[in-house]
Amino acid sequence: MLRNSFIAFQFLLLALWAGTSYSATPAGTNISNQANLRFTVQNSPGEIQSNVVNFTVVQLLGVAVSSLDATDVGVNSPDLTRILTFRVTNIGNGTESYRLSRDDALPSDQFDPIAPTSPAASLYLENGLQPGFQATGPNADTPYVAGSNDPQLVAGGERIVYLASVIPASQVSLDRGQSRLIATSAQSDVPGKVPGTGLPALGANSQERVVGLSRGQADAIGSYRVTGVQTTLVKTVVKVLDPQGGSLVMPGAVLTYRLVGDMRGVGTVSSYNIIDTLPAQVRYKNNTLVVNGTPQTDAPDSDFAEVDTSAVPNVLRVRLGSRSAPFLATVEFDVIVE
Amino acid sequence: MKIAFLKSRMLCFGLGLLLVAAHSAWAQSPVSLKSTVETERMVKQADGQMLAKRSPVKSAVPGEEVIYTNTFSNISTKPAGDLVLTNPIAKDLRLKKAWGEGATITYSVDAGKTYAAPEQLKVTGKDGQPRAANVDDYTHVRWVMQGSLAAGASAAVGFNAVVR
Repeated sequence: MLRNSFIAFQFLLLALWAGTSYSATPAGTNISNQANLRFTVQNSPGEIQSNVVNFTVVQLLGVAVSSLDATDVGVNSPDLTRILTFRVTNIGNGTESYRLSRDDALPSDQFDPIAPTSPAASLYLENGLQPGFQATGPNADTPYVAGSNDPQLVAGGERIVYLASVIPASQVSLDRGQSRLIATSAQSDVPGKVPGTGLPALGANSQERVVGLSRGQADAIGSYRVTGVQTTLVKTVVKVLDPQGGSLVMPGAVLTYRLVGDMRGVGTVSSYNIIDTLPAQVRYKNNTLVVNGTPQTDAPDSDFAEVDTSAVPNVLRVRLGSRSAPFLATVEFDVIVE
Repeated sequence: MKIAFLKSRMLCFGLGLLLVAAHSAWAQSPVSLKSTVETERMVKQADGQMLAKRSPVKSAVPGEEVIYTNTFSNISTKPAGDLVLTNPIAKDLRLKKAWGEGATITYSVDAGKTYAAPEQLKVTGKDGQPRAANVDDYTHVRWVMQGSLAAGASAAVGFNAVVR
């Protein structure tokens, strides 16, 4: 018996059900009903039972896939096997097997994650021994081989699936690469069918199967994002004042140096320090050190900077501590040409 | 003597027929009760209009709504009164609405032992404390018909439920 005549209002009910609970009545359940009636006729009480009516709950096919990574997974470029984590859930009411696949060529990103060729598997099934992806060791998760170990899930059952990728080289910070995990009913007559379609081959508990709203397949996207911090440090002479009031570099001239430390990308540097060993031909001019517009003492104290004028040549140290990108540090100080 | 014997046998035969007839009349309930379960689907008509059409349900999927109808008929020659109809709600169904013209409808949350209006129903929560019952707690529906059902008349009550 095929059920090709589902209509809109039933889809609404299915949607309500799909959105509220996975604990659906199992396929094959017989739902029986019998009513009871008491009455009085001519002061004589009576009681009767109705006929028994029954119907059977058939298998509703449904699958859902969700990404379990709360944020983009940070990677380097290039990078070796990096993992996206997904959950595949049987939202139908009978046992079903699912074929898994991946799609890396999504148009909404800056690079395509690469399915690794070594090891051969690019998808792994959580084996339940140790949470999180385990590539090797006694708790290594199970490499997935399509058609060989398609996950079979009972109604409401779920399986964690790991998608492994190699990150290509030459990507810059904040570039994003996305991969889609696709779970498709392993029974070839399901995928793509219109919701409500009845299928001829019997399913769980030998029940008729009806295609649910997911049309027998579902997918979710996970994202990699190139992180890491790129730092640059540029040193320039921004001003020269010679003893005659000119701008010639000569003994006695005062040079104003500017160091610009530019931290870009995504991430945090735990000890962001700028150390400048001055040229031997100059010496630091006391009390001229300014960091991001704030004057600093020369002594090693609680502020950001210090200058070791006892060292030859002088050494300037700016300790900015933990800083998250993006961050810009501008250091200015004067030196006197010897 | 012979005539008297024949009369006597005929009388016995006649009494026997009367007894059989009386027994048959007593065995057949003066009120009948028939239950159906159906689904309602919108069917497109030739003119393009959508029309709700009910049909018996043999199978259903979770989330599908089914309609139970209990039709009772007074097949006697006397009015039937004190009509009280009860119907369990299968655990795999979630009551959506109960209906019945001229009936006071109440519900049970204790397998049919007691009935009350929704606002009066309480159950014990997971914390051991009483809480207001909700439709998921209902186990039975009861219809208490007002007045009597005339001889030869029929009435129907029922409920809509969704397959969990």
